[in-house]
Amino acid sequence: MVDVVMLGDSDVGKTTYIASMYQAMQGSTRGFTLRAAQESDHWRLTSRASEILHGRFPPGSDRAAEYPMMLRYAGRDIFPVTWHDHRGGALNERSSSFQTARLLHRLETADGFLIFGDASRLLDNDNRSAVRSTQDLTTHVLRVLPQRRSRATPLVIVLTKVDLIGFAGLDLGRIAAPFKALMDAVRGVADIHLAVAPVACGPATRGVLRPTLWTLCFGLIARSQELAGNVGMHLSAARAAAQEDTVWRRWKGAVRADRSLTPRSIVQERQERALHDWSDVMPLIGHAVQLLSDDPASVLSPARPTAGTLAAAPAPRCAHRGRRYRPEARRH
Amino acid sequence: MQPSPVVVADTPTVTVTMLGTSGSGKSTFMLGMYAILAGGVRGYFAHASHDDHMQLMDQWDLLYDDGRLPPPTPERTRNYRFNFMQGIEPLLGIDWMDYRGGALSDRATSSDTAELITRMAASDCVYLVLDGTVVAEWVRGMVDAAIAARSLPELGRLRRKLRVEDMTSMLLRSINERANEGKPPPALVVVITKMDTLTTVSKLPQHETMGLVRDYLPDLLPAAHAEGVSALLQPVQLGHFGTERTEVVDKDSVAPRDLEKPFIFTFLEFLTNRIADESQFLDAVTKRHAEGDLELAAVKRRFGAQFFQRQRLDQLNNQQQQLVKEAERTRAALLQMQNRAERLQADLRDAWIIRSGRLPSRPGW
Repeated sequence: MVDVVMLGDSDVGKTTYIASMYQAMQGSTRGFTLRAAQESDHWRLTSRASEILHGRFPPGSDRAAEYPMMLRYAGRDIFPVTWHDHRGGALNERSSSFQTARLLHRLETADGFLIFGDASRLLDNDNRSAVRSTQDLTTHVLRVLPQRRSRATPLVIVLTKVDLIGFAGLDLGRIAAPFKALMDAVRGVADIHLAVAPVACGPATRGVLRPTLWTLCFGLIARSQELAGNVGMHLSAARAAAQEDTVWRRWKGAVRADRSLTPRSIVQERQERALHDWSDVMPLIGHAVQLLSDDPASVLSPARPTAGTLAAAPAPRCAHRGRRYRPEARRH
Repeated sequence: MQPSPVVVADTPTVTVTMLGTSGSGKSTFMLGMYAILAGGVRGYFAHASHDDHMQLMDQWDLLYDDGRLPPPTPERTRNYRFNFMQGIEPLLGIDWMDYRGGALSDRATSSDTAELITRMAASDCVYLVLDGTVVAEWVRGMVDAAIAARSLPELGRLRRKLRVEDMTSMLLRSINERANEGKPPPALVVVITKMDTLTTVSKLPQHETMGLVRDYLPDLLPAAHAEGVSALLQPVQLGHFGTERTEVVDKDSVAPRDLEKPFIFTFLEFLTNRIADESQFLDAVTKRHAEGDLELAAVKRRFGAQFFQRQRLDQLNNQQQQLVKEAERTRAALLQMQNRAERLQADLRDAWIIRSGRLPSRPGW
């Protein structure tokens, strides 16, 4: 499961974005699609998206909303992803407010962040509320990032309503300047994957897939890291059990009714589980590479990943002989 | 559901206490320092808990949008927990206490005064906030009277105005109590607020005004020159608000300056103490290793040591290996801390840092 939190002020376009992005992900994007887990969400999002295509934008959220979805590839479920939209004002209230407390908690557990900024407001240097909002967003994100070291985290600054400025001659550096401190803070941090993506939703929708693809790619990476960690854990347990696996213990296990707890059976079970998790890791890495294989040039990323940087953890080794497992050789 | 914890686990925390008279600009200084560090300055950041952040930033907005200065510290003390960071790396947790100006001079029976006395002994760093306008008036008075030699009566008036005696008495008590517990004296940050008024009131260039303050600091604030005490003398400003005491200022004159330096110094001092502790530890480890070598050699010289003293030899060899590992770990940690301290010193290259009463060369204010 990947949890993505969308952060931004009221009327910045979070609700519009999620509907437009969902609609765009209905058509196959490099083989990937998103499907809402609940039918009611599917209809709500698609009908909203159709309104947006006609230039009728939804009002801002007056309550938090969660959209659990399934990322699918070639008709097969890959992993669940939940998008957390929240009421814009929730960020500016005290933590005694239920929605604010929930959002703060969600920030700590999120796997990825989409930070929204209204491009036209960000360009206006005299717009104090935009400055304040940017500063608050920076603080919220910086408060939780140190606790996530060594965990791949996508962080996308989504610049909305770019159609109001015009995509021609777009100066992304200038628009995103209020986020410079945040961008500088995470620059060069290995596990934080920053991207800046200009988007427009409406009759001429543009760029809505980029933040999603970036987030899903690193969601896949994070999931593969977690599974690789499980592989290591199972192998350690298998190695520990292998040391206990003596002739005497085998004989003792053989005369006991319950043979499932013998060191030998533990070694086998742990190796099987490691192998199972490992066979799940490899396709995820492959999908992640594929998601970003044609990353549009307009997505700025100081740490743009390549197939090389997405390399998986070393393949698990047999606890007894140090031989590498080959997932394709796994018995079914 | 609880709001997120502020201080990241395994980040060291220091205790900071801020002292100053009513109207010296304590609350305004703290507000400005937080507001600019929340947005990030030269890669440094600070953040408080969500609620404190919102409260402080709302006050900052009032200043920026309407020119409203923050209200003075209320009757009760305010405690904040800040996290000081460089990029996304947590450097230091800061347990910050802001006392009302009157707590300095009230009798110890007053609840917050009693609390302040206890707190001082636990403080790793003390911020002494001096009203820049009062300091500049004193400089002007000296110049007007063309007093060539030290003018202690003039200084006496200044000390009374700034309540320096009360501050010094609290500081000395804190230094003694900490010494009894084997702790180093607290680091001092002498914050001179309202930097913009230094020039306008004293009618001297800023570096000359600050030069005079620096020259008279041993008399003005003897605790800052005590043996073992490190002090930063730092003028700061939130804007060009002039000398008039008012609740509302021209919002266009907000121009924060050097407000981040006290936090950088606080971390530098924490690091300096850690370096001293680790160096001491490394010396002890090196000494134990040298003693171990001697003992090992002595055991080896004994007749038939390889047979009859096998167990003792193994024990000594293991001990020596452990000490080598410990020394390597400490050296690596020391190197890392020294590199970081050098970078912090570079960020404070224009600041005046007084260590055990020794003054550095004049920076370029």
